Amino acid sequence: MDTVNVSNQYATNSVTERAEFGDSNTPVIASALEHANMKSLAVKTATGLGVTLVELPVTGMLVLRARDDKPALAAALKSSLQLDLPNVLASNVVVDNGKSYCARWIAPDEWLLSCPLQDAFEIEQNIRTAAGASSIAIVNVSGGFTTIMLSGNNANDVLKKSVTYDVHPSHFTVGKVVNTVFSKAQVTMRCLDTNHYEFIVRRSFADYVWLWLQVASAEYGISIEIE
Amino acid sequence: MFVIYCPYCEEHREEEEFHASGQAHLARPLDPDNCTDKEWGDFLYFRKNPRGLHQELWQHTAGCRKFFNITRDTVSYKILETYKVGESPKVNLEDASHG
Ligand SMILES: [Zn+2]
Repeated sequence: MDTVNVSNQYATNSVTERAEFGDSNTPVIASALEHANMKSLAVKTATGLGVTLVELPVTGMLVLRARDDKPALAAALKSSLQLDLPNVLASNVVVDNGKSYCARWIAPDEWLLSCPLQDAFEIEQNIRTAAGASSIAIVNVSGGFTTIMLSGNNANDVLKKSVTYDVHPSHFTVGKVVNTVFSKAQVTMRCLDTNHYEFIVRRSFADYVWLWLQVASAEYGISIEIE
Repeated sequence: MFVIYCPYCEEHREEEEFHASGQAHLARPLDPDNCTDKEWGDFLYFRKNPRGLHQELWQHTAGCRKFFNITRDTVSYKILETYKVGESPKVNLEDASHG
């Protein structure tokens, strides 16, 4: 297989193959990095190099807010998804029938819930119904973000070059969620495992973060995978 | 470079994540329609610029986005405490500046 160094490679001219969507009634949301053409990059890179990068397909994202009625929101989330509202800088994950739901602490009165895109509306309705008349807010921000996964033996080394946050495994522990500055962009980063990290990036910052990750990872060798 | 303790995130973060928003504890006149021009002008425009201890409002803009207060020495840059909006500072500026 031909392999190329993908560092600095970006937005090839070839027409991007659109992701296949099952039924035509489903609104199509292109991922933030669709134009970077992951599919064509993925077949050109070798596997098992120091760093692996993946952009996840568009994920459902709900911003949950509650202050005085935080217990009501916690109960509603528990009853609809069996998910506990996370404490400071923490995340909680539930996998049910192959579907993954993750709640992340953002602020004392704010959480970010990710879920399969096609379920976001139903989950929002279920939480609203369960919360009844309590003062909570839910905003569907699915199209506004993208999720980039960074893994591999040198993933932590890439992180050290990119953030001022202390990412030593003893400090940036598994499950921890940190809102911080990644180079110059604001990201929500989560540690899934040693050398396995998730970045939730605003759509408008996705290019910047993607290009930065390619440059910062180049010295270790980059595998690009598609999911 | 400051390393600032965010009272909401409950850990120290680099200054890069924060934004300074000037003097803390500015009380808005309770009845703006009937206060004097001097009272309104003082609230709107006039700020302390001390050489020494100062109470400042900061925001954790890249983190939890919450506002909180800092008691800081403008000479040494030492941060004596950070505390949530609505809480009272533990450091008394009068006592500390004479001590
Ligand atoms: Zn904070």
